[in-house]
Amino acid sequence: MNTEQCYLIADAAHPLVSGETLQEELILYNLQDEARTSLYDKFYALTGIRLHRDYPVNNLSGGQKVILMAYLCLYSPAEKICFIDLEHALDSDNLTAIHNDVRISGKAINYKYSR
Amino acid sequence: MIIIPQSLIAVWPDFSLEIKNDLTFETGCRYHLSGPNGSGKTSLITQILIPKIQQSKSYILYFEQQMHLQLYAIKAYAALMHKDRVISSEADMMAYLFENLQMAYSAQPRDIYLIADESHELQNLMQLCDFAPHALIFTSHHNLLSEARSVHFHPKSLQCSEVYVPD
Repeated sequence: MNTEQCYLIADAAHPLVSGETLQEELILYNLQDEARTSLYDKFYALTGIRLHRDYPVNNLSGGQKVILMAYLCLYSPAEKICFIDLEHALDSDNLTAIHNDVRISGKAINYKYSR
Repeated sequence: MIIIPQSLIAVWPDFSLEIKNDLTFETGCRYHLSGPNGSGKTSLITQILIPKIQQSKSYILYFEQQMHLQLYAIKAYAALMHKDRVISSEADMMAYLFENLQMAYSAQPRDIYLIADESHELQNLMQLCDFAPHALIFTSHHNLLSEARSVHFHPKSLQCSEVYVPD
């Protein structure tokens, strides 16, 4: 498989994979210690919620799950990310923050819309 | 008509909603629940509004924010109840639910409440329900229906949000 053509797909309609603890998402997205710390700090800055690896992700609101999905992607090793309907569930402050972090991430980002 | 009186309601062990004005929901009207992520919009719907509507014996269709689990459940239900019916998309699911609603309404008219949590399909919902007067209650971060009455959520802290009807 030519991985240069591969995108990490992040669909706001299905923001999390496991629905159990954050640990499972961290493993799936291959976030190591430094990236995990960055994720926890960023999420706290945006939502006021302190994440940890045993955090039950189903306790998050729908929009907070999308924020988490976005930063799991941005802090993952993936070089190319395709966001689907990212804007839909996010308030303007969070959307602006994510767009700013997308810009400085250095990753190739593609946006798709289902409608 | 559904009324949520002015009150402080513990919707979760660690989260409350402070209802600043009586909130009234009636058929023929549209209501836009607005507020930042995590301010309690969905909690109001699932923990307060839906139980009240169920108590009133009205019809209710609730479209969840991340609808895929709901879609699978309704596919499974349709497969058991209507074997010829194929449901492969959210649009199919909505059409199926509204057909069921229309049959129930024809047999026994009651108030109808449509609740859409961050749905892409508001216009479609209203068209599908044009056979009867209904209340449409929706959450969105965009002003999708200018005529909708606004109910705003303002977080006071992580543990409490105010809910009010703006002037």
